Amino acid sequence: MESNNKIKAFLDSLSFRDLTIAIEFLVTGYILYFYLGEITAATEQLRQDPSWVSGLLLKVIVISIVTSIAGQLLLSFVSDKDMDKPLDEREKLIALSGCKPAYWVLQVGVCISIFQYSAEAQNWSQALPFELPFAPLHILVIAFLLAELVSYGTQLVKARLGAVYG
Amino acid sequence: MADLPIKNKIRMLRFMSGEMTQKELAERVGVTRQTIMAVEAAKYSPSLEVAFKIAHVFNVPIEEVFEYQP
Repeated sequence: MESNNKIKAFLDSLSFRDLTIAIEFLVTGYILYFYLGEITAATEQLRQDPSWVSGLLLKVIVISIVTSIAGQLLLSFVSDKDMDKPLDEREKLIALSGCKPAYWVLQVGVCISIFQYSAEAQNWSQALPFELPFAPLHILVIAFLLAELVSYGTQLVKARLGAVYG
Repeated sequence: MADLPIKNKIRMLRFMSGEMTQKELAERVGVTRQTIMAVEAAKYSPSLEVAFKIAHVFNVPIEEVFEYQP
C-alpha cells in the first residue's frame, strides 16, 4: 500500500515535459543499442560494403521516426492538452542546460572522427584508434546519439532535482 | 545543492487564499506545477514577470511574497 502511494506520488511529481524527455531518452538509447549491435554483429566483409552501411543508416532513420511517432502517440494518450503547451521559463532553462554537455560530447566525437579520417588518409595504421571500415562515419553517428543521450539525461536530472542552476 | 537566497511565502499565501493548490496557482500564473513547486522550495528563482504574476494572484505587493536573504 505504501509502495503504491510512493509510485503515485512519483508519477504526480512528473511533469509532462519530464515524461517527454524520458521517452526521448529511452528511444535514443534504443537506437544507439541497435546501431552498436548491428555493427558488432556484422561480418568483416559486410562492414566493408558501402550499401550495407547506407542500409544501416536508413534503418536507424526509419526506427527513429517510427519510435518518435509511437512515443508522441503514447504521450497524447497521457495528456492531449499538454502537448500543445509551450515550455515555461524554467523548462526552457532546463532544455538549454542540457545543450552544453551534449555539445562537448559532440565536439569530442567530431575531433576523434577527424583524427581517424586523417590517420586513414595518411596510412598511419598503427595510430588508428579503430580498425573499422567507414569508422569516421560511425564515430560521428555514435557521437551524435551519445550527445542526445547526455542532453536528455542532463535535462532529466536537473528537472528531477529542481537544481536548474547547479 | 544549497537553496537560493530568495525566500518566499507562497505556501503561507496559498493557505490564506483558501488552500489554493499548486496546480491552480500554476494555471493562473501560466507555468507548470513543477515550476511552482521549485519556486516554493526556493530551488528556482522566477523571472520578474512570473514573480509579479504570483503577487498579483494573491493581490499583495511583490515584497510580501519574495524576500532576499543572503
